[in-house]
Amino acid sequence: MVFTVFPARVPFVALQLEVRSLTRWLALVAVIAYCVTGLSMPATAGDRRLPESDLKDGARVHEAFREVVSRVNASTVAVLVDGRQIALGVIVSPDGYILTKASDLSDDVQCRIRGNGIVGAKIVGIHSRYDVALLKVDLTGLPAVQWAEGHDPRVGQWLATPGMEDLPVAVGIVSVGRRPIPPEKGALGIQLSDGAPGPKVTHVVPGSAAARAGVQIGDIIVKAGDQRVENPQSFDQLLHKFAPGDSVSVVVRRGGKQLTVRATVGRASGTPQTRGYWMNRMSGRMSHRRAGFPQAIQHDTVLNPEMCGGPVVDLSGKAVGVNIARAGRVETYAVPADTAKLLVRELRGGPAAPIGATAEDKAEAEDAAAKSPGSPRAPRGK
Amino acid sequence: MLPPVVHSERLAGLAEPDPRNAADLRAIEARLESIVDRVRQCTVGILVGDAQGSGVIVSENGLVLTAGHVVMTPGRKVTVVLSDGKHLEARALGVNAGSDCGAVQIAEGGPFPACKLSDMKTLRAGDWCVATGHPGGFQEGRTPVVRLGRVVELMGGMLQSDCPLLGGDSGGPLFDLNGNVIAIHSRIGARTTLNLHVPVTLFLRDWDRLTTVAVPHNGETESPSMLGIDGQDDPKGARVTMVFPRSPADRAGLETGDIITTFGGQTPDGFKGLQKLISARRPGEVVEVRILRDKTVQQLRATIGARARE
Repeated sequence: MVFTVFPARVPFVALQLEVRSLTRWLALVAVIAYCVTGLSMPATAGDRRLPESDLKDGARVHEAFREVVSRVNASTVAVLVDGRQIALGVIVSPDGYILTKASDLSDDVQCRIRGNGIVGAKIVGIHSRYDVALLKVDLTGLPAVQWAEGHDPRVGQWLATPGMEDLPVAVGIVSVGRRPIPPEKGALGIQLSDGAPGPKVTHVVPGSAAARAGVQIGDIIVKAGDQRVENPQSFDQLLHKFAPGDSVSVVVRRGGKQLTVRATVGRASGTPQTRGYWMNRMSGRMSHRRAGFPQAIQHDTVLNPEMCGGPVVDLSGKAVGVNIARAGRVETYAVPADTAKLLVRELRGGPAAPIGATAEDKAEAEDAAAKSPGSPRAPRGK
Repeated sequence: MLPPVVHSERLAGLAEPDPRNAADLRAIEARLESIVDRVRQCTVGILVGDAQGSGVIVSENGLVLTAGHVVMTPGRKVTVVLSDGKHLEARALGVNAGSDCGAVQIAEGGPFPACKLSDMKTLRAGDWCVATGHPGGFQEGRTPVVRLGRVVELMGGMLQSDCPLLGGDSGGPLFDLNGNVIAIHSRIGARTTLNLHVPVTLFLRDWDRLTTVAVPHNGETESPSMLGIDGQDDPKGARVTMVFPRSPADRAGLETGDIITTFGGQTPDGFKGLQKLISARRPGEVVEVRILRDKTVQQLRATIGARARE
């Protein structure tokens, strides 16, 4: 007896986006329904269903990448904290320098290196804007990564993320060329009405930063940070200066008394009331720090967060960048190779690095240059 | 208007779909690179009130295919955002809520970069496909986001691929490696490999209704328009056998046993014929209904209702 493997009814999410969920996410509280529809699947007629192994990221396609990653996987290390892998890293020089993702590191860092087992590593430096850290292990003769020279990989080019094994961890293509990734906007999870004594809290999203900090309906917001709040708009603007995770003190008036509450700023797209959050959430785990990079290449590789921090290569096997974040269902970001090289040079200098054209300066310049991005242009009228 | 369909060879010059080594991967990459500029140029964002979706231009004069649930209501004003960020006025055409097909006409500018539709004759599971769209909505400074995957399964009304999609991608195109449109993004499941697209064959089946501003409908038989009666055929039209409480029919004063002789001036050909006449009306329209009750002719006015969405 044969049973259909595919379930008859699967919950699907329609893909239209309520943009308010991103910009004015509080408005969405009323629109919690993220439209889960039950869709009946007709039985497969005739045509085969592609086996798992043949998916783009399946074992058989990975096998085709064997030669592509055959050299670079020796330059890829696993970065461990408390004995658990938290990221990959990339060997950038034979004398033991390793570049990795910074935000999940702590003091006790080790690296698992092909042919060398697990060795202790110390943190040489951290560049927070790119969220990269340079590690040092006491080994020599290590196989340093070969960086791709010249231009960035083009949109549509294959990218492979090597791991510690002979086959890549995952593969994908370049989705969007190099561009600045804006920081995530912060949010507290309250709705305000404009009024005479000041902006008044009319709604507190359950489980939000404001709810955890003890903000209540009816509170009048007086100050946020050290600035007076005049109206809901100025509060919004003020809050956007804070990144998720930042701590902000808010002075509220409640029943004639002024109280100060401390809130940890949440993500504007980061509560279960928003659809984007839910769609991304159900698609696997994401990096905690996943936005606000001066420059990054976007690719469609599906990576677990602990597989970020290592190299990403094109079909020549050379590293075109370093994976810096798993940012959502459809996006992984990589710091481009030329920027990664610059960051290594800067971080190797350590605290006493000469003042000059640092990666940070270059990033600023790039930010400015990127104001007119190279979008594909529609042909002009005849 | 004739749909822009072409015969599209599934392998697009590849010896076979399964890559075995770097050379095979390079062949896929070369195909993708040859179409990537074009497919991005044809990909648009669609702003519908506060909501956003994607779409694909399929004619030089600005016909855009999208998902039915992106536009929802035929005739409504929407904004189309070209891949270079230009915002243009547009109007929703037909919608098929059942198959999730929709169409939009750009109302200004042109000629536009357009993609052709594949005839889907040779497409099979395992063929490579390319998804574009605006996941998360159109973002200034970000070109349409390109993703590669394979056709996982071709079902009757749906194509599954492993090109990961997100909210905002809805209505965006799925291409074969010739750069011809094979499907339109519709829904996702939990796994990143479970992405569902409406095959273009469903758009072609419905082409005339989709490309004109028409009553929203739900496939061949179902329209959201309803009166709230059950009935049977009658030599003089259609006989009412049941009136649903608080339905438009109830409010119009229809009763069990009435024979509807004309509906909006037309004599229904049996109860099925009456259903067709109702389906052709838009919810909210007021229709003159002539009935025969106790051998006397009466004239009623009914306001067409809309079936509740499931």
